[in-house]
Amino acid sequence: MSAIDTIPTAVQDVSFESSAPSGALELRSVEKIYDVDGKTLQVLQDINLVVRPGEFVTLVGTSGCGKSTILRLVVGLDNQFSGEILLDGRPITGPGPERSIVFQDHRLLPWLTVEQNIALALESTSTPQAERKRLVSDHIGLVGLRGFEKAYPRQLSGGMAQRTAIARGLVTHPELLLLDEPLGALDSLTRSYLQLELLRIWRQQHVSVVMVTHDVEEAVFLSDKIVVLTPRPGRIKKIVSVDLPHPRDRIDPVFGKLRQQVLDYLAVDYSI
Amino acid sequence: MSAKTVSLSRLPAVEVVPREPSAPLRPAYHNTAVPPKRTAASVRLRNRSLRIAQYIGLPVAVLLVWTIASRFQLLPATILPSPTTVLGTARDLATGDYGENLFYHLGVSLWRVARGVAIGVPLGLALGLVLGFSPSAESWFGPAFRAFAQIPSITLVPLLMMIFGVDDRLKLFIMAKSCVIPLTLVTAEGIRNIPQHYLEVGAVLRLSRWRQVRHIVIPGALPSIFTGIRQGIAHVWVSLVAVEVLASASGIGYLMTWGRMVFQLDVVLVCVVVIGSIGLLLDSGLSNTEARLLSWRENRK
Repeated sequence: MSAIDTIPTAVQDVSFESSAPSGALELRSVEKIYDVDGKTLQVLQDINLVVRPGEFVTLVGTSGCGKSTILRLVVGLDNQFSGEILLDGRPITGPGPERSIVFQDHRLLPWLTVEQNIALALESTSTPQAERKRLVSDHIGLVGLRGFEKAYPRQLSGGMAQRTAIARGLVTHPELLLLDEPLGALDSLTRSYLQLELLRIWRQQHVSVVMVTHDVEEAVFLSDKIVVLTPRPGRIKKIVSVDLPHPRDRIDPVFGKLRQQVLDYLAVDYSI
Repeated sequence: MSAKTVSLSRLPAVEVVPREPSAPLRPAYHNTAVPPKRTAASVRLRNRSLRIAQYIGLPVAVLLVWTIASRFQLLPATILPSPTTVLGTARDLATGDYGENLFYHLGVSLWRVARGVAIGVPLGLALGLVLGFSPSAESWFGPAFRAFAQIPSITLVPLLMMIFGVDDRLKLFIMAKSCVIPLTLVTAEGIRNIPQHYLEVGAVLRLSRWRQVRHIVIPGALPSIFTGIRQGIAHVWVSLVAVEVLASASGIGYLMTWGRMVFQLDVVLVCVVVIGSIGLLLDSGLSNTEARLLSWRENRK
C-alpha cells in the first residue's frame, strides 16, 4: 500500500503514455441499408458501441441480426454505411494493419502451407525478411502448431485450420482483432479447448477483441462485455458487463445467472 | 424367482470350468480366420496390374474382334487387313522399307505440334488473362470470340488455303486457333470464378493488386488454366492431323491420306493407332505434370 503511494504520479503518467492506449473502437449511430431489388432493407440501426483498449467484447444475437455486418464494416470490407466508426479516434476508411479478422470458415488459401498463409499477412508490411520468419515462427508457436509449418490446409483439422487463421490475424500485431464466429464450425470439445486458448492468447497479446458468436455461454465465458443484438433491423438491445475473474467457472451461480440474463434478452425477440 | 437368480449367478461359474488352461484368453471373434496380410508391396503390385489391365482391356478386346473378323473374312482383306498384316506394315513403315517412313512423317507432325503449342499456349493464356481480368475487354471482345469459337477449324481450311497456300503457315494458324479457343475461355472462366472469400482475404491483408494476382488469382485459377492447356494441346494434335489429311505433303495425316489413295488400308490403320497413342501420351504426360504442380489439392482417386 505504502509502496504504491510513494510512486510519483509523473512516473505513472509516463508509463501510461509509453503503453499508449490503442485499440479503442467506437461506433457512433452506425446504420447499414441494403438495396434488394429496389426495396431497401435495413440491417443495422443506430449502433452505438465503445470498445476500450484491451477489452474483449462479444456480439450475440440470432442469425440475421447483423452481427457479421458490423465486423465487415469495422474491418473495412464495406464502406457503404452511415454514422461513424472510429479507431483510436480516427475514422475507418478501408482495411488497415491495425485491424484483422478471423472468419468462421478459416479462409486459408489452399495452395499455401501453414507458414506461407501466415506470412501472407506480412506481405504488404515493410517487415524485413528475417523478422518475418521470426514472427511467423513465433505465432505458429503461440497457437500451438509447431511441426505443422509445412502442412497444407487440407491436411489440417478444423481446429488446427482455425488456429492458423488466428495466427494469420495476430502476426501483424493488430490493436483490434475481429473474430467472426471463429469456433462456430468446431465440435464442442475442440471448441471449449480453443476458448481457453483464445483467452490465453488475448491476455498475452494485449489486443482488443470483438467476437461474434451465437453461443451465449461462450460469450459469458470469454468477454468483458456482451452486446445483445436483435434482428430486423439489427440494433443493440442491451449491453451486459461481465465482471467475473478469469478463468471463469461455468457452474458458478453468478455465471449461470448472467447467462440466463443474456438468454432472456435474446428470447424476448422471438415473440416480436 | 429365487431359483432363477441362483441359476443366473451360477452360469459364469459353469462356463469357466471347462476352459482349458492353455486356451488363449481372448474373445471368440479373435479366433475367426484372419485373411492373409496385405503388405504395401502386394497392394501396389495389385493396383499396378489393375491399372495396366484397365489401359489395355478395351484395345485387346477390339484386337480380338478384329482378328476373328479378318480370320473369317467378314470383310474383304483389302478393306480390313488382318492384324498380322498391319503389324508387318508398321514394321516396314518404321524402317522405311515401304517407300514412306513413319518416323519421318511423325517427326514432321510433332515438330509442327511443338510450334503450334509455342504460339497457341502463350497467346491463349494472354487472351484468357485479359478477358478474365478486364470486364470491359470481356464485353467488347467476348461475344465475337465466342462466335469465332463456334466455327470448326477444319471448315476454315479452304478459305485459308487461298490466303496461305498449303504450307506450314496454314497449319500453324489452324493449330493456334484450336489451342487458343479452349485455353482462353477456360482461363478467363477460372479467373472470374475465384471465390469472393479469397479475394476478401486479400483485401483484408491489404495486398496490392499485383500481389492479389500473384498470390490469390493465379494460384486459384491454375487448375482451370491446366485444364485449358490440356484441352488446347489435345485440340492442336487433332486439328493438325485433320489439316494434314486435307492439305499437306508430309506428316502423319498425309501418310494416312497417301495410304488411302494407294488403297493400302493397312497403312491407314497403322496411322490410326499411332495418332491415338501419341494423343494419349501427350495427355497423360500433361496430367502427370499437373498433378505434380498442384499437389496442394486433395489427392483425388
